[in-house]
Amino acid sequence: MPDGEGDTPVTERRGSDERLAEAFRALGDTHGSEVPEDLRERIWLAVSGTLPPEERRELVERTATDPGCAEAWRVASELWRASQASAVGGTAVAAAGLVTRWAPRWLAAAAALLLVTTIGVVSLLNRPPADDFRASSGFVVESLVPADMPLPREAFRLRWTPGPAGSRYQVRVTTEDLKLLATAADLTAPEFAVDPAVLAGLSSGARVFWQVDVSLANGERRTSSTFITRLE
Amino acid sequence: MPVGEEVLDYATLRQDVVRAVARLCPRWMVDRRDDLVQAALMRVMQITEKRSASGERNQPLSTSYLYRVAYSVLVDEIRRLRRRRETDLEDEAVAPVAIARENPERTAASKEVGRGIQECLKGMKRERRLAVTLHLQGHTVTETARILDWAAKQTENLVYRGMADLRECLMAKGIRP
Repeated sequence: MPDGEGDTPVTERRGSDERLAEAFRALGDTHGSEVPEDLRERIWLAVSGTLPPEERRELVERTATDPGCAEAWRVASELWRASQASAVGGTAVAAAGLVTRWAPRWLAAAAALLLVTTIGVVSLLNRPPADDFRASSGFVVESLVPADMPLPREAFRLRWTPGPAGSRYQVRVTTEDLKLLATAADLTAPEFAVDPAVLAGLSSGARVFWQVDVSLANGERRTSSTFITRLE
Repeated sequence: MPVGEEVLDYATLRQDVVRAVARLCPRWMVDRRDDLVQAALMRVMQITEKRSASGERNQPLSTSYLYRVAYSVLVDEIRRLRRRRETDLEDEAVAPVAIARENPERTAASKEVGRGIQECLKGMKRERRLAVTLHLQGHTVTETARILDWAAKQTENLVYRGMADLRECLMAKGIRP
């Protein structure tokens, strides 16, 4: 127990801390700002301990006043912790964990460079889909399969709202545990019939997840939400 | 390490993402947790497949890469859900469904406390501010000490004193912590 504690009972203080933490986190709901890619990368590096200490502190300082940044930090922390538990054989994780405490400066720099390179590649490939809800001139990919209507195996036809003329569609269909059932690319019609054979292993009532990528004629790309359709 | 099931363990990643989403999502997002997890995982799969197909077949895809991708994707997906909710709230026809689960008084009170916390943090000594911020973000003293590169005992004291400052500051603003 730190020196100089007051009279407030520990349990009461803990409850108060939790309420304060909840209120602090809730700021992200109303004041959450955009977190650019480079900032996201730095947050990951800070959480993993790869960024130099003073830069980490600067980022923590930013999270105190930037709810969007604070939210990204929380997501990074959760997944970094999980990666530590999962990555017994993960070389990059092992490097990040070790350099935090034990490695000489040059090794830390090398590991940081490795991670930055990895993250750079991720960023290029991981460009988020454009804002489906505001910036796409009203075009939103929506499922046309009623959410509460199971589809029969022999006619498991997925349909969605058509894009502007010239749109091409890519579909990905998986089971709940992410087993890939089907993919299709370069479709010109906004629909896709899943082969009954690939559904044979699923039980009646199983949930099938699917997502559509739309390539617009002007080169832009839109990714739908993930839709869920049950098997009859 | 070769790219394969033994390296890219999607089942474990899925469990971890489910756990993270459960811990991170605000109340209003409870109904959308499954969608959020699934959307995030499908995008992770797309991204890792794209990388595999982009001439980097000989480059290992480590667990840390997978989790780093999941992190970035999850930030996006939470943002997208939030924006969709804002759009729904602007649409009177949809609003009753979207806000049905929220208690307006509780939400307003929480916002007031949140704003108070931000203001109080600004006025705090830097070291205490850093320690308190990580405490409010859910970090343990050990994690906070590691991130800030401080001794554990020093960190514990800073968290304690900083939280005392915060409560006092909020009380001065008429906010009962």
